Parts: sequence; structure tokens; C-alpha cells
Amino acid sequence: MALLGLQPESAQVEGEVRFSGQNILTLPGDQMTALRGRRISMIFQDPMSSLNPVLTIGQQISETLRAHFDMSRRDAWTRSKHLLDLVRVPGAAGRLQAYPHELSGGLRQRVMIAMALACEPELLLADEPTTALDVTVQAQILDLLLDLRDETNLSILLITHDLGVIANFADRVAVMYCGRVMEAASVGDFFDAPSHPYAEALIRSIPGGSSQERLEAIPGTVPKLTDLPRGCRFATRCLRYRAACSEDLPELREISPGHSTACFRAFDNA
Amino acid sequence: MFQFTIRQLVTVPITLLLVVTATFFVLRLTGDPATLYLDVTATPEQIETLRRQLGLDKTLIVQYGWFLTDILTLDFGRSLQFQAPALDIVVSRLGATFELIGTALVLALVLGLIGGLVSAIYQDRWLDMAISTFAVAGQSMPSFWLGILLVQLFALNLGWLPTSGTGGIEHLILPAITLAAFIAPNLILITRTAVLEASTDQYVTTARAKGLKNGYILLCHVLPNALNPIISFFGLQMGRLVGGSVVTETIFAWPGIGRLMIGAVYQRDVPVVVATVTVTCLAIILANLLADLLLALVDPRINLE
Repeated sequence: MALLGLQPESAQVEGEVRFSGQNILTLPGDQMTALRGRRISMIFQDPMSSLNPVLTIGQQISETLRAHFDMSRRDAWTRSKHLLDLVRVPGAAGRLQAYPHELSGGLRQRVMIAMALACEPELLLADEPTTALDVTVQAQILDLLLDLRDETNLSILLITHDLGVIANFADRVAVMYCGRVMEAASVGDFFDAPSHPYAEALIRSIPGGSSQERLEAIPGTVPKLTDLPRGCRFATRCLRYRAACSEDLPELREISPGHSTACFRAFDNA
Repeated sequence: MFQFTIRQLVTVPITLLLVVTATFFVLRLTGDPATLYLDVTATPEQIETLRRQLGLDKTLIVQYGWFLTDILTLDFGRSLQFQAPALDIVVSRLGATFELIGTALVLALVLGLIGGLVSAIYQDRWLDMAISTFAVAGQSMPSFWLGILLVQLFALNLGWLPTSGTGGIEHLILPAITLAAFIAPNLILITRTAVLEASTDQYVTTARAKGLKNGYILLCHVLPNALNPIISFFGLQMGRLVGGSVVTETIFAWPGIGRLMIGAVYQRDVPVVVATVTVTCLAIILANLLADLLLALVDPRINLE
């Protein structure tokens, strides 16, 4: 949400978001509005509540087009139909007149994707796009996103808790904990050689094949965001904790080309 | 939608029957109509003769049967005050009341929607505080008192507007404001809440993520979703508006149904009381039906079948 400045007014946002070499957090309101949906667009967790219940699918897709392009209603409508075809909604022409409550969850998420792709953005933010869907539909939606990435000139930033999805989907992975990137690596490096204790713990907690095995869990709980520790935010739960971890905040540093981590311990051997 | 309308219309006579029945028995319980038709010097024999003529010597149930038959043929009897068919008199007053209620409704709607929207946009800032305070104050102020204050200020002190009666548009202003004051403050508060509630919905975030402008989002995404409670409120408030028109028409000597009704009650003009009650009841039922249809129109999820 904060990436596109959609957070509520009370939220505090620190750091910067660089897009095409520009920090977009400092953009004035109207430039941010022009960027949203045009160059960066977003899909959300719950397709049930993300669409406006009193507007038709066609109205909701074409208003996005008309917000960014000088387009007649008729053209926007025709383009909306093509977009529904693109995200493989069966019977696209008829669906334009449908209201969201007349569609299934999977179809609604496809409509959200069609809407997000309407203006051919460079980046799609997908915030747990399949969490609210059942497993079969989940796979269909992810396949669709991968196809669309290949068909159009699109980068996808996928936010998820599901390591399985990451393994199948991602090229690069960034692990976040309490608002900070802990580790950033290619998907191969991440699963083969995780360097941050949090990343290691996450991978260890993937259930194994055997039913006898106990599930590994990370001890402790996530600190309150209003009361974060001074040093490393993972320190209290870390198996490789040492005193220095509570003193300073480790910065993200490269340990090998394309692989960075924010842990003092990762550099112990170096 | 069509089926729903037909089904609702079928229930209209049932509701009307209940109202008319209640009116009949309440009026009979509170006194003998025969004594009212004659003056106080009438002898018991004269009263007895009239009772026989009017059928008042028969049992109440028989009288009720006649009463219903008359009403079914739209014969409400002759008015005692006006010496004319009661229904004709009521119908002749309808225009004035519609004019007053219609103007007040438009006024309340404009004030309520704009006030509520502005209040929601400037939530918790001084403009919102000012509007909300005004609305709460308006809600607590008895409207008859507001009417009297308005007359005092604009008619007596400033002399800009007439104190009462009918004529040009200047006669309509003060009564319409007074009547609008019955529902506008509530409407402001309800619109404000409905808009604020709808603007926290997820689809509003979606709309912002699509790069739509704030004003557009407010009018095309938030407001349509906020209309539901506003329309329901309107349906429910029709009764209050009719009650308000009795008060308002009395203050401003407005020749509408409200003043006719109150006059008929004072004069024990039974036929006119029954006719006004029936007609206003019908109007309220139809207004509610209209509200239901409007709801289905603004929210496609409401299935009236």
C-alpha cells in the first residue's frame, strides 16, 4: 500500500521507493495519481471486496482506461472486452454487463488483473493475490500471471507468505521482517544457500514429506511495530544471536553478486 | 422488479383497511356523532330521530359494514363543516400539501446530501465540526419553534417575507424551510456516516490504486454505495414529514391536508378525518414502495423477486 501512497493518513512511511531511478514517495499528489494504474498498478488479497458492488465489470475496467487515456466510452468498452479475453474470462462480452456479485472469486480476481493491466503498466504489485482463493483457482491465477508477464512487458512484485508459490513463481526474492529487507537473492540462492537466520528458519519450517516429523517453528513472536528493538529486529528470536545484534541495526550488504543480507553473522567467516 | 411492484401493490388495500378500521373504532369510542351534528339545544327526541336516520341505532358491526361499503365506493360521507363530499375537499387540498412537502423534500435532500458530503470530506476538521454541530442543534430544535422564530425574524422584523397564507413563491419559503428542518439535520448526519463508512471499503483503495481522482471516487464509487441507508431513511421519514406538515401548515395557515386534518379533528368532522387519514396513509405507503424500488435501482445486489 505504502509503495503507491495508498496508506491511511495516520501511517508513517520511512525510506524511499525507487521506480525507474526516481523516489516516488516524494512525488506530489497529482503525479502520484497519474502514476497509479498507469505505470504501476496493483491487485489485492480479497477479490470479493476489491471490486465496487454497484458498478458493472465493464464500467470498472473502462473507467481505468478513461482516467489515463483520452478514450471514448465505446473504445474503452471494446478494449475492456479484449482485456477480459486476455485474462481468459470466458464469455467476455457478456461479463462486461455483470456485477461483481455475479462472478466467482477466481473470476473476480481475473477482472482485477484485467483492470490492473488495462493501461499496460511496467510493474504490477500483487499483494497476496491468491490468499483468498482455493488451491486450484490459486494455481490458475498464478499461471495466468506468469503467462501475462511473458506476453506483455510486465514486471511483477508478488507479496506472499507461501514459500511454495515463491519457488514456482519468483526470479528474485526479498525476505522482509518488521518492515525491513532481511535478505535479497535470486530464488535459487535463496532456497539453496539462505544466509540470514530468519530466511534459514523460514525454509526449515516448510513441512517435510514425512508425517512423523515435528513441524519446525520459529520461537518467540514478532515484536510490536510501535516498540521495535534498537538493533536487529530479529535479534530476540535469532538462534545465532550475539550481544552486538542488540546494539546496531545491520545494513543490507552484498555477500556474493546478487545476494545481499542484513546480518552481522553472515560476514563472520569472511 | 415488476412482480415485486405488483406484490407490494396488493398489500396496499390491506394496510389501508387496517388504518381505516382503527380510525372508525377510535372515533366511535370517543363520542356519539349524532350529538355533534345538532346543536346543544336539541331535544332527546331530535337526537333519537337523527340517530335512526344515520343508522347509529344499529349495532357497531353493522355500522362498520356500511362504513366499509361506503369507503369502497369512495364515499367518505359529507363534511359537517363544509357541507360537501369529504373526499372532494381532501383532494382539493392535496395540491397545496404536495407543493409544500415537495419543496421541503428537495430542500432537505440538497441540504442533507451536500452537508453530509462536505462534512465527510472535511472529517474532524472545523467545517465538519460546524456542520455536525449545526445538524445536532437542528435535530434537537422543535420545528414549530423554528417556524415561529423564522416568522419573527423574516416576516415581522425584516419584513422580507409574508407571515402566512399562500400566493407567490415568497409564501412558500418559510413553511418549506420549517418543514425541511424536520428531516434535514438527520439527513446530514446519516449521509456523513454513510459516506465515511463506504470510504473505508476495499474497493475505494482499488479505485485509488487505479489512479482515479479523489472527486471522481467520491461521486462515482463512494456515494452510490452510501445511498442505501439514505434512501431507507427517506422511506421511514415520510410519516414524520406528514406529521411535520400538520404543524407547519398550522403555523403558516397553509391550506393543505395537515391543517384540514387538525381542523376536522377539533370540529369532530368525522368524514373529513377518515378521508384525510386514508389519503395520507396511501401517500406514505406509496412513498415507501418508491423507496424500495429506488433501493433496488441503486444496488444491483438487492433482488426484489
